[in-house]
Amino acid sequence: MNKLFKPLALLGLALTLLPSLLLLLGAIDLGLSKTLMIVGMVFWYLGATPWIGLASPKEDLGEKHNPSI
Amino acid sequence: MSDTSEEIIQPGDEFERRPVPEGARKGHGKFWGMYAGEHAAGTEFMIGPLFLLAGVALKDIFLGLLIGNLLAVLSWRFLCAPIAVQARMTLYYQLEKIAGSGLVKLYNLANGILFCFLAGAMITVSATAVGIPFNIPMPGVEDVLPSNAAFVVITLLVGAVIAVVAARGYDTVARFANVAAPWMVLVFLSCGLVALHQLGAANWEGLNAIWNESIITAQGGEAKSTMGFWSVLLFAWFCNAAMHIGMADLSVFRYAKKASAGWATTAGMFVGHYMAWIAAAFMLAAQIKATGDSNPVPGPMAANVAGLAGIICVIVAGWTTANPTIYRAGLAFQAMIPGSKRTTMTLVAGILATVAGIFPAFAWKLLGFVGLYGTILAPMGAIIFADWHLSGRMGFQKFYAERINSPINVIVLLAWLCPVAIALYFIKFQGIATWFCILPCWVACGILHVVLSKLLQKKVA
Repeated sequence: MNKLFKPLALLGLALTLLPSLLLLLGAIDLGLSKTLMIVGMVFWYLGATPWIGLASPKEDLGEKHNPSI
Repeated sequence: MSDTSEEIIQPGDEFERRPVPEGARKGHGKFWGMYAGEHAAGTEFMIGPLFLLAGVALKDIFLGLLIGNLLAVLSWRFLCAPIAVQARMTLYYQLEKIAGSGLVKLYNLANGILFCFLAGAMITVSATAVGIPFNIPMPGVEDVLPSNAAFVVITLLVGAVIAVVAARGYDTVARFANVAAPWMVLVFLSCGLVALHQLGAANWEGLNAIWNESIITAQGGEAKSTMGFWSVLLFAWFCNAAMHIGMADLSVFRYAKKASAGWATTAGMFVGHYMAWIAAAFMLAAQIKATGDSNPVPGPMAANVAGLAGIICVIVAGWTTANPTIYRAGLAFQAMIPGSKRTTMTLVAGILATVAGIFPAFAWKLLGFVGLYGTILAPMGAIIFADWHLSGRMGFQKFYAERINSPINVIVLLAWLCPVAIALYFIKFQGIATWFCILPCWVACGILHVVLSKLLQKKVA
């Protein structure tokens, strides 16, 4: 199933970044950029949750004791 | 201390009271991923805009953040990581040997309380995004107290959810944060690029002019700067002072095979801090240009450039920062009270953080708070540094509290609190910015530890 989830997730990442680049180039407007980013977000979480989230237990590198700023 | 690759490693063993054995050590790749994800956090949505409000010149942002973040990386690589891979102990275990279990509790108490306020600021961040669909009025940058009942209710609900999830344990949220991190990094980048487009500058001069106009608008017609190049550099360097020169990341790098794993912090500093802070600052500049509104409220800023994806990112960023921070505060409080339940202490921490989150001042004053955090906690790292590297050369005993079986090494207590107390005086009564105090405190603490150890330690066989 990773053969489905991983490409879906990567497509989601592409749809998260590419709209802003297309906007900078003047190829699309802000409304479409925001819509594509929503699609990208959905694809990412639909794909990445089973792919990354279930792939292996999160290895603790001791960071649970230290906050991130 | 035995340290063989044949040592049996039990699942879930966190080696809290023994060196990490060779079989449990991790390759560099794990650290790169961890640092990249951990530092694209809810705090970034606040810190970047606060630079603009402080009147920082654009060139100072680009150059000050570049050098400051580089110095942070070097601090992790050459101060923290070498001790970590030699000693292989957690900060708390190593500190206990030097300072005594009683002082570690005091350090934990300070840690836990500061964690709660940090988490509170992140609850505020998330609440500003949750409130958008309900048209909740957002607090303004001048608001210290809650500005309206609706925002208080939203904050309480957000805080309650975060606290309950944190009380259930670390792993679930950590897994979700692991999934969210790559997406959040790209959302930050996208937000910055869209904001840059909205600023409409054709070149650096144009961008600089728009930036300066944003500062004037934000300051009501003035162009006052309260942070210059050195402030930005020191802030970036010491934003995570408690982790690098403060040695808290001994707990992380004790798992590294080599000290060069310290270079992995580059991912956190330049992806999570440099890029994200500049992107967030541009978001506020774009908001000011579009509407004249200079309130650095993350939810509306993100909605302006990235719509619903931006709103979700703010919620997730605030949540994935607040959750583990409340968890850590719970651990710190649990360590203070023997026999207490982690779940209970985590809920206590969550309640404190939620109450703090109601007051937007903690978010608006995040720059100063982060500096205060480093001022209070980072000097303990100087004690660890001096004890590890200088005890033999300077002729005093390493791990003195363990040698004399004492819960409190008074030498460490004095070496830590005296510089910190003086720094707090200068911060509170002389108006010195907190990030200027961290390095002098650290150096003074280290020197005091050496001098007092030589003078006051009794020889133990």
